[in-house]
Amino acid sequence: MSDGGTPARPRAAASSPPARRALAVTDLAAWPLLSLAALGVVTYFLLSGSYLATIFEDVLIYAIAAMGLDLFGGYGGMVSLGQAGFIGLGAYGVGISAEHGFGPWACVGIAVGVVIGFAAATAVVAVRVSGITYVIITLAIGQILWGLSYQWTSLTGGDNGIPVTTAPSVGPFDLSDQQTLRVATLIVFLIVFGLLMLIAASPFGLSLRGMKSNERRLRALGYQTAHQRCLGYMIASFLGGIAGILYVYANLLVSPSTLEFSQDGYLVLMVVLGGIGTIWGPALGAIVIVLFQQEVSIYVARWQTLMGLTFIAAVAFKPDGIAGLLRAARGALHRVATASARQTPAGLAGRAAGPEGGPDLPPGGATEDQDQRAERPSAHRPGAL
Amino acid sequence: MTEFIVQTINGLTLAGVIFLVSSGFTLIFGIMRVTNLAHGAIFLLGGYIAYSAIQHTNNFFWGLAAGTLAMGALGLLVERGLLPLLRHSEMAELLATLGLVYVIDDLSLAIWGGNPLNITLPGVLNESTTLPYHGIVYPNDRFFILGVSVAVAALLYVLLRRTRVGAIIRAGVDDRDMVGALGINVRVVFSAVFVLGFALAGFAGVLGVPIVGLAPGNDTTILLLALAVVVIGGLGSYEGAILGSVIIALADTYGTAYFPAVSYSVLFIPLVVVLLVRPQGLLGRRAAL
Repeated sequence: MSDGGTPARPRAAASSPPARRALAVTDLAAWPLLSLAALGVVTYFLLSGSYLATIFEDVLIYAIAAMGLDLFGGYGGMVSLGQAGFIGLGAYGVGISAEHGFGPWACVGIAVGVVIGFAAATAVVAVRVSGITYVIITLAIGQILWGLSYQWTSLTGGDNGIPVTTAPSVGPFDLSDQQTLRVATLIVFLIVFGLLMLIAASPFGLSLRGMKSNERRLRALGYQTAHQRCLGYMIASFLGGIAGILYVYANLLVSPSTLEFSQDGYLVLMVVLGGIGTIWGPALGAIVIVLFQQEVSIYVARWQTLMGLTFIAAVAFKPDGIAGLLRAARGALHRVATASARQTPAGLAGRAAGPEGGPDLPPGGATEDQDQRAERPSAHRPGAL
Repeated sequence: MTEFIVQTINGLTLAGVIFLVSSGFTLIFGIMRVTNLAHGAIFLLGGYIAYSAIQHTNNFFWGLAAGTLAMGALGLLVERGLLPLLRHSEMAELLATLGLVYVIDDLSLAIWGGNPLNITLPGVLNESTTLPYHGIVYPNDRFFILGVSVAVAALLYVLLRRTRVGAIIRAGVDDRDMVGALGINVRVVFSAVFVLGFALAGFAGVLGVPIVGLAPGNDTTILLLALAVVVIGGLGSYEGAILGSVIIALADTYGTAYFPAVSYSVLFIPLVVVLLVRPQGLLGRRAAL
C-alpha cells in the first residue's frame, strides 16, 4: 500500500489526468495500433507482387515454425535444434505423397499425419530429458530426418529434392496461385499467432513456465509434467510441420538443404534475436534473419559472419532480444510521460486539485497498477537465458 | 569376411578420430558445463590451417602442429574473451557457440573455398601394407591415425588418472566449487581444459583429413558424431568417450557399408536406446547432468 503522507513521491504526480492519459496511450492503444500498422505493411508488401512479397512470405512461414519453437523453448525452457527437421517433414510429406499420385488435399492430410506421427514417436525420447541433453536429442532427431532426406534417394530424390506443382484449392481460391497462397499464409500465421497467445496465457502455458523455473515443485503440486512436456513438444513440432507444408507450396521444391543443421540454427537465432519467451519476438526475429539471408547477402559477401557476430553480441549483451529492447523503450516512454506530466502546469494543477493523501482512492490504486506493469519486465523475464 | 574385417579396421580408425574430438568436448562439458557446438567447426578449421601450413612448409608434421596450436589459441581466446560475457548461463554459452559455428564456417569458406581439399601423409605413411590374413591390403595412414589416437588416449588416461592435474580436473567435474574452495586456482584449470579440448579438436581435424576429408559440411557430421558419442558414453566421462567412440564409429562404418540409404540415421539408434534405458549415458553418473 502506498503511503499517502508523502506527496513528494513521483507516483503521486503520475496520478494527474494528462499523465495517466499518456500512460494509457503507450500502454493500451499503442500495441494494437502498432500491430495493425505492422499488419498493414506486411499485407501491402505481400500483395505488392514485388520480390519483397516472397521475402515476407518466407518471413511468415519461418515465423510460424519459430513461434512454435519458442512456445516450448522460451516458455518451457526446452530449446530445440531440430525444428527445421519438422519443416522438412511437412514439406517432404507433401512432396512424396504428391509423387505417388495423391490429390492436393490428401497430400496435406498425409503430411500432417506424418508430422504428428513422427512427433508422437520422438516425443517418447525427447521429453525424458531436459536442458542441454534436450538440445542434443532434438539436434539428433533433426539430423535423422536430414540423413533420410539426403541418403534415401529412392524416396526423396536425394540432393535434387522433390518438385511440387499443385497446391490445393479452398473453395474458389486456388493456392497454386502464389498471390492467393500468400494471403493464405498470412491467415494461417495470424491464426497460429492468436492461438499461441491464448495457449501462452492459458493454464497450460503457465504450467510450461512453471516447469522451466521449477519442475519438481510443479510435480509436487500434482501436475503431470510429462504430459505437459509431451503436449508442448507436439505443438512445437506440429507448427514446424505446418510451416513446412506452406514452405513447399511457396518454394515449389523441397530438398535436403531445407532441413540441414544451419537451418535448425537459423530458427533458434530467430527466437533468441527476436526475444525468447514472447510470441511476437520470434516473428520479429524471423524478419531479421530472413533479411540477413536475402537482403544483406546481396551487399555483404560475408553476411553469415556478420549474422553470427550479431547473434553472439545479442546473446552476450541483449539476451532479451528485440522484444527486450522494445520493452526497455516502453519503460523509457513511461518515464518520459511521467516526468513531463509532473513538470507541466496541468500536471501541477491536477495534483493541486486532486485529493491529498487517501491511499485507497481509485486514482492512487490505478497508478499503483500501472507502476507495477511498468516494472514487470525487470521483475519477471520470461527469457531462457 | 574380408570385407567385414576391412570395415572393422575402418571403423576403429574412425573411432580414433572421433574419440579425439569427443574427449575434448566431454572434458570441456564435464568441467565447465559448456556445450561447445562449435567443436565440429574447430575440427574443420584445424584441418584447413594445417592444409595451408603444409602448402608452405611441405611438412605434414608442421601442419599437424599448426592446426593443433592454432585451435588451442582459439580456445584460450574463447575462454577468456567470450565466456566471461555469458553470465555462466549454460544456454547462453551453447547459443554463443552456435553463433561461432556460422562465423567459423563462413570465414573458412571465404579463405579455403567450397571444394574438397586433401592432405596426404608423408613417405611410408602414404603407402599400403599387405596383411597376413587373406592378403588384405590396407593403407598405412589409417594405421598411423589409429596408433596416434590410441597413444593420445593412453596419455590422456595417465594425465587424468595418475597425475595431480588429472585429480584436480576429475574433482572439478564432480564439484568445481569445492575444488575452488580447497584453494586450487580453478581459473587456470578451466583455461587449461578449454585449450586442451580445442587443441584436441584441431589435432583430430588434421589427423582426420585422410578419413573424413576436408570440405564444408563435414563439421556438422563430426559435431553430431561427437554429440552422439558423449551422450552414449555419458556427458563428462572420459572412459565413456572411448566406449562411445567405438560404438558410434562402428555403427557408422557398418551402416555406410551395408545400409547406405539410412546409414546416417541408423547412427542415432544407439543414442535413442541409451537415452531410453540409461539417460545418464553408459558410463555417466547422474550427477554429471
